[in-house]
Amino acid sequence: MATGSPKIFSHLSNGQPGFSLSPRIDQVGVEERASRFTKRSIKKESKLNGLKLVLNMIDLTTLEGKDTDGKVKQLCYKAMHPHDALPDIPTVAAICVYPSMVKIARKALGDSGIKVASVATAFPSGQAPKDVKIRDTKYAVNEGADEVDMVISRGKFHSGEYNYVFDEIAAIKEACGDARLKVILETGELGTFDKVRRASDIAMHAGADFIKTSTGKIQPAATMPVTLVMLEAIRDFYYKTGKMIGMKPAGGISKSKLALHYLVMVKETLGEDWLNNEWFRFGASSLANDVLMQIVKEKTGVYQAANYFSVD
Amino acid sequence: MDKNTDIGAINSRAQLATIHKYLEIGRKEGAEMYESSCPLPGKGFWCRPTLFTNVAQSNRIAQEEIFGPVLAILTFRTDDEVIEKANNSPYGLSAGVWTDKGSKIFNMTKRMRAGVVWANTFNKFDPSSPFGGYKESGKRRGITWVECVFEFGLNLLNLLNILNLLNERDGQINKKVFSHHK
Amino acid sequence: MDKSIKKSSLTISENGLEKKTSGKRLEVLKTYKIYIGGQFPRTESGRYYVPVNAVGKKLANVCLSSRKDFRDAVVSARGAFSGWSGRAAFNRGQVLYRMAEMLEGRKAQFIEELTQQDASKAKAEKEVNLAIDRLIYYAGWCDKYQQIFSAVNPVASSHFNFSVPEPTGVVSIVAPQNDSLLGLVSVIAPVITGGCTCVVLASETKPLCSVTFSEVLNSSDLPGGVVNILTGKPSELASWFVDHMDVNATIYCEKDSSVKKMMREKSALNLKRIIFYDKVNWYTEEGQSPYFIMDTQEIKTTWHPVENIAGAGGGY
Repeated sequence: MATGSPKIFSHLSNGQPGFSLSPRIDQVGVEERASRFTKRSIKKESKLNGLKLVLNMIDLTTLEGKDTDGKVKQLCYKAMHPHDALPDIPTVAAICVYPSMVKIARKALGDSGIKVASVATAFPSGQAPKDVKIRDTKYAVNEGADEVDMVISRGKFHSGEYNYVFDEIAAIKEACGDARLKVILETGELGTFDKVRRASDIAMHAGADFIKTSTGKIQPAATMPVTLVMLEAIRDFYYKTGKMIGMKPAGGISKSKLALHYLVMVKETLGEDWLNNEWFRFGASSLANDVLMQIVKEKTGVYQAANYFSVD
Repeated sequence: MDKNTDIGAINSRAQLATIHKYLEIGRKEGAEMYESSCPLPGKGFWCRPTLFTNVAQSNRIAQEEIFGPVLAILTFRTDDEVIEKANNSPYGLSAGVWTDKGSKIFNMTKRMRAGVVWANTFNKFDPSSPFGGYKESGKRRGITWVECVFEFGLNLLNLLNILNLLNERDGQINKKVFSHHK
Repeated sequence: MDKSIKKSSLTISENGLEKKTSGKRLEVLKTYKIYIGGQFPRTESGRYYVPVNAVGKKLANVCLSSRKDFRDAVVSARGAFSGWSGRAAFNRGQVLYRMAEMLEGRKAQFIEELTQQDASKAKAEKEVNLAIDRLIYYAGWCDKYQQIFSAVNPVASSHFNFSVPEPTGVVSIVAPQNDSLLGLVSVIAPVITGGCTCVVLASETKPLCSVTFSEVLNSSDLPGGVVNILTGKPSELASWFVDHMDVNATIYCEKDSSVKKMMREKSALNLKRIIFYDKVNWYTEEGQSPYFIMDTQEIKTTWHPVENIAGAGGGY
């Protein structure tokens, strides 16, 4: 960080927006750096382990207006049994659903150890009053959500009302109780890396357990450069406070190869401590089957077809 | 067989055991099982007609073929979804669609990747109607069956395909209007 | 003062650069790239080979494609399948006709390449002409083969029962080694006429026309991914062509019995259809037939009840 000034926390003292001291990001440099992670060669056993790790980091997601109990139950089954024909593969990390589906998912997942994540706070736009968002969050937690994926108020953020954004995150964090809070920045609506960095800093200082790129409803969603900016924010925050924050890129990561590039980036930016589903997640739906296809390819030496992997 | 028979006995003890294995798997997988309450004859290999609901595409009872009087019921929301699920299989022997509207039926049957599609009917056969599958269920139609036997020996799967082939050839369109290369 | 400059006194070339006194212009050699998903990438492997003709002249630097190029090509072909097979049959015919038009327009280049690859001028010309005609032939079949090979089956029960051919999906093709243009066109055309998409391995020893043909495809209205053309060695790639689970059928056009055996064995494992065109003379009538289209078709039979209104009877 450019400075360790406590001003960053001082949003209440003089009424001025804080976080103006977040470091500026060199966009060209970040993009170059991110592209370099794609050049690493991962083969054989390491690839197989990497693929299994990816599978184990997935938040299997369905966030559609047309979600039904049946659909969510089917997805939960897929989460627990990604591909029964393959022995020794892990389950995914969590199921990510709307609050109205949390109870169904909780029940379907039983004691499988798979977490239930719920989006909340008027996902995906976040355009609702704070008390509605808090009730939304509490509802999800009471229904049994282990994790809450909130969206920040991008409108307020662009208006420079950083304190509002900060306070809102802090209030949601409080409403979460024991549930872990993932804060979605919706980077596709923030525009610049400078703003992504600032929003990351706000979220982490306000109590986020995870920061997450996107809702998946806006393009561009997760990209490697934007994830790198957030990973570096996490690293700086860790050096400063000693507190680990998780990272979740979401939307647009559908191929194993790309997912492995992300793991390389995490390892080389934050280190091995982050290489587990406690601290790193992929928000994705079609990634799981691609990973399974690649695992079978590694095991059999034969390129696979989508027809052999169940769609749920 | 008695003309009043809807469902007969299972053909062997081994197959009955396989079916029971799948019923057990289905239950363990959390699907809801419904079984006819009909009495079973004491002698022979019998299995009650059985339905499973609350089944996901990834359930084994949906992925694997049971070969018994067992139906796994999966639900869908939209036409696209049901087509995607129906085609999400390496096999493609036959399919069925039940719906109301003519134009919708033919839209469905057109998009299904299966060799035989029954619309508002099921399991119909006729000597004049071709029978054979797509994908793994329809390997190598069009070669002579002799060639096929020599090539694949006694591989059972292929033997099944040869049988299909014979059936097909009986019903296959045979317009030799054009000279062929074979 | 005389300001006029005499042209002859200057050593300036037409494009304004100073002329070197010696030497001819250095020719710009064409880079022969592969064709995947409507793009012209170099092989991901970065490998090349240099085929030579009978008199030992090096033909070009040609991509030595790897199995990963093939994998990428299959992804493209699978992606293009739904759109291509879903097009109106008449429209597919228009596209094939357009391909023939574009081939006609670049005739001279193909003849030149064929003669580099040891053909006589007359034979090269004949091969190009036949290749164009073959595309026209299959263009015509696009919206006709389905009617010819369909049937309404006279079943005994009260059902409307009909059978229609439908494209099988993605086809991998090891093209003929010798008739590097005519053979290539003759195996690709029926496959795409029927709505399938394909990945083709061109002639290893005579690859020039295949690469130029992919430029023809790219400038006609054929959607990217419908035809993907790789260059390289059948000995290295053939097994992947038949192994890949997302390929529905494989066509092999050579006589190599060990390759054929390998293909039979592998296809028995993944139940893929394999088709051998090792005895076909592409120069004669037997080189074109709607049955070639049918080789990569499936037959779908649909049953639909026919209501017999009470009292109306079944007759006329």
